[in-house]
Amino acid sequence: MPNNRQQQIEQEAARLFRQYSYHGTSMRAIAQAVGIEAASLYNHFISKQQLLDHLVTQANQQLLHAVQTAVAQAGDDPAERLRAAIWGFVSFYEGRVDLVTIADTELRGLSTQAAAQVQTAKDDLSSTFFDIVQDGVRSGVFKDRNPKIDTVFILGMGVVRAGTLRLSMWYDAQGHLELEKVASQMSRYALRGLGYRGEAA
Amino acid sequence: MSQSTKARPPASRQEEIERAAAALFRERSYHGTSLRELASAVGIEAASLYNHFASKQDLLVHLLEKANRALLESVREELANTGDSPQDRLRSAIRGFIGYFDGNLDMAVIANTELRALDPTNAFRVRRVKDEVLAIFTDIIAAGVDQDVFEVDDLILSAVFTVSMCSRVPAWYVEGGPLTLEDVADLAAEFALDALASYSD
Repeated sequence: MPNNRQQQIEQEAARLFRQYSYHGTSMRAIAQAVGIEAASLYNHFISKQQLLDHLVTQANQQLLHAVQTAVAQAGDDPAERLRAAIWGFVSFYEGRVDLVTIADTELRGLSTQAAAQVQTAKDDLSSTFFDIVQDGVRSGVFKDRNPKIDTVFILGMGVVRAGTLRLSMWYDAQGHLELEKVASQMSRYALRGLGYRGEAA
Repeated sequence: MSQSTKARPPASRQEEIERAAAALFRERSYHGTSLRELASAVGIEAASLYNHFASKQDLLVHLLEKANRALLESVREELANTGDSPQDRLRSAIRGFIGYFDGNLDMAVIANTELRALDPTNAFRVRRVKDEVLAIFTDIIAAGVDQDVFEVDDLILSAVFTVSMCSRVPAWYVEGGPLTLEDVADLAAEFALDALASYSD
């Protein structure tokens, strides 16, 4: 359960933006979902625009941070680093499916300033993966096909995460998301796709 | 992807509306686009739009169903003209998938991003087409596993990763850049074939 009003607003807004899109959601609908007056909502966010900017910027920056932290703990081996990056990426979903989804789908509604911040976070995320792929190519453990495109393929596998997670929900009768399984399968697919033939794949 | 520059007959009014709608929905989202804006983009009266579509929702479901069916057809066409080996079939399925994007980038983007804007019944119809595409990939990979040319831990996830990698392409692909969509399809096929290849292969 959200431990305060602000968090509760963020959660409901993310859920509604995901379901109905930013343009399709009113501040009144968000207030109603939280169970407060629309006027009280404005104590937390001065506008729907500010709320969206806050959510999407924060989601992208936190995702980047989660991936960078995971990679920083992974040592030097490119395969280990890629596995860590994918784990950071996928595990960020836990409890944040709505937020991570709108972090990708609601870019069009952002203010210019927020859009720039989000783009920086997305570029940094791509570079984090690209550096790993390039490292692996340099050290000869990954194929030198087209590291830039191979990186977008890997990110693409992850970005359609919502669909993947829907599938993993099917799998498990309890509806529990098997994030570890998704991440380990994704790592395996990505590493082998890069031509890695070490034990880890 | 048999022909990269398709000779298109002069666009009918209907087709003009569809293309303008796809471009606007991509740029501003479904909810962020009014029928009035659409009409003015096509250069007709808003009232005339109703000769073609009963409602904005009707237009959206038509577009998404058409996009997904055309993608499915493109995959099937490539498969009809290929060999029997799972590797050839996978390569062709990927070429058909990514080949569909040629000239249809806006449609391809909204086919993914605007699914949530559909009413539940309409979303169900569109998802069924998407599921058919996924089923084709799943069947090819399953055949490869049976014949010991592919090796996977999890059949469905392997198919999902392959499809995800391809369906993300229109989100980052820029026309007129250094790579053609055929190049991208070849790279995607290399990646997928390596990712799925049996080690003993």
